[in-house]
Amino acid sequence: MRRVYFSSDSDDLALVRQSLAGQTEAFGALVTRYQRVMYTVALRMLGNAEDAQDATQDAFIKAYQRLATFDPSYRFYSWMYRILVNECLNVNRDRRPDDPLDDDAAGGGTPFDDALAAERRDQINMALLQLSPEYRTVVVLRHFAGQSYGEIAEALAIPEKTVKSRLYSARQRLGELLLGWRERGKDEDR
Amino acid sequence: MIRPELEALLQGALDNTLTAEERAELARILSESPEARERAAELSALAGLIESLGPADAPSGLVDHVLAQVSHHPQVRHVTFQRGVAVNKKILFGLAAAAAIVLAVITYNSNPPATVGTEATIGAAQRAQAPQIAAGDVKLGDTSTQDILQTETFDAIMKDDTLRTMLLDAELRASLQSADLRGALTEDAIRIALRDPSLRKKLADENLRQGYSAEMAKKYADDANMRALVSNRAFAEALRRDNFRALLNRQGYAAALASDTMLRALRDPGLDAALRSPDFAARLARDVRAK
Repeated sequence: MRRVYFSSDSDDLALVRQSLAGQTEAFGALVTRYQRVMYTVALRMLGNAEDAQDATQDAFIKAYQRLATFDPSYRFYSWMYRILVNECLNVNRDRRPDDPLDDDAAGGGTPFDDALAAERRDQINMALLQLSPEYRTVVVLRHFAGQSYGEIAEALAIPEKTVKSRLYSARQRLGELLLGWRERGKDEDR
Repeated sequence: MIRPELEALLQGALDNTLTAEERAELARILSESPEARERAAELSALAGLIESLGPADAPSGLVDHVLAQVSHHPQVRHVTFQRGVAVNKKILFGLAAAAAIVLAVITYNSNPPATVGTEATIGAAQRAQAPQIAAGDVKLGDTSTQDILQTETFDAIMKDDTLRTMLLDAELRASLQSADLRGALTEDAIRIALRDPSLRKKLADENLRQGYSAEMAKKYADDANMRALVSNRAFAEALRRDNFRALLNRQGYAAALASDTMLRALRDPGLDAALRSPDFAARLARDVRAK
């Protein structure tokens, strides 16, 4: 199917072309534009700030090295998400099971409120990490990167139907873990 | 038991993927089924909980670190085929060498000749070739809305994570196309009520589905904040909708609606046109990703 460029993607494409022409400051603009959302995705995938920082930096460096392989008929950020998710999955494989989770919550309330909020955030982070990587990835891309089904499908190179099915199963599992929903049977791709 | 069709509609509503017909169908089911309403509330609560983690700030110095690294890591050079398929040079030379060896072996052993049977492969390859993108395929946004997107009001929305994310909800944008509701949201009493920490708990009141009525105003005679909400016809009508109440239930959304940034936006004469513009939604979505 032929793809269509939207004006919002054309800026990225221009920066990619300038980067390929040797203008590293153009690549710097792409990193600046996407660093926050990429880091957020990495943090929610890994639950650890240090690992998330490493994964985000490595993903951008790999993207730069492979920029010539980027197919401009795709969205730049979808391509970046794919590289980043692969980095995160590699970190996950190497990780020790007892590595601590980071609490990235900002304070601001009373010490008691902050402690309660931090505990709740820990619970949510733990629940995310209990999901299989396939399920966690779609939840993180949907809820923290605001990606549509189609964009997630493009980033992960899977059918939209699989995105929907994984989101359903992931949410069901999170509901069981966080809100005590009744189990609805074994999760599986529908 | 929740039917798979209903579950699909509810998930679609959560992800803003429903068509107008599907939204109408879901609204009908929700109005008739307490079980469906309970499930919708569950899903909304879960989404709110997940998203309560919010975005994280990138570590300072990340950009500088990446740029320092890339200056030591040259880009991989690639040979690009005419149709945009990029192939690593090493792979290309390897493939060429392998092809030469295979060709030599086939030529030496071929019986029948090596070209027999390749026509179908070539035909399939030709069918798989994608056409080049033409100028007509390039869609630029609706330029009439570009001016709105350049305003300070829009810039302020972009800088408010909660407000920006909230306005991504298509149903909320549709609701805000009502001048009456926009007017209601500029009233001090309603803005104060939206900041009430106990509002989320009070939104569980099933009677809010009744909409504007003297009974509701009477019921909340002793609660100034709720009385302000249910006594405003436009706001009371909005509260009838499950989606609107679910949005208000999300962490920080009610306060975002009552924020000074939102107030400035509501007073901006360009907001109505922006809410109706697909470019506005596209820019919100793009900047949520990019921030």
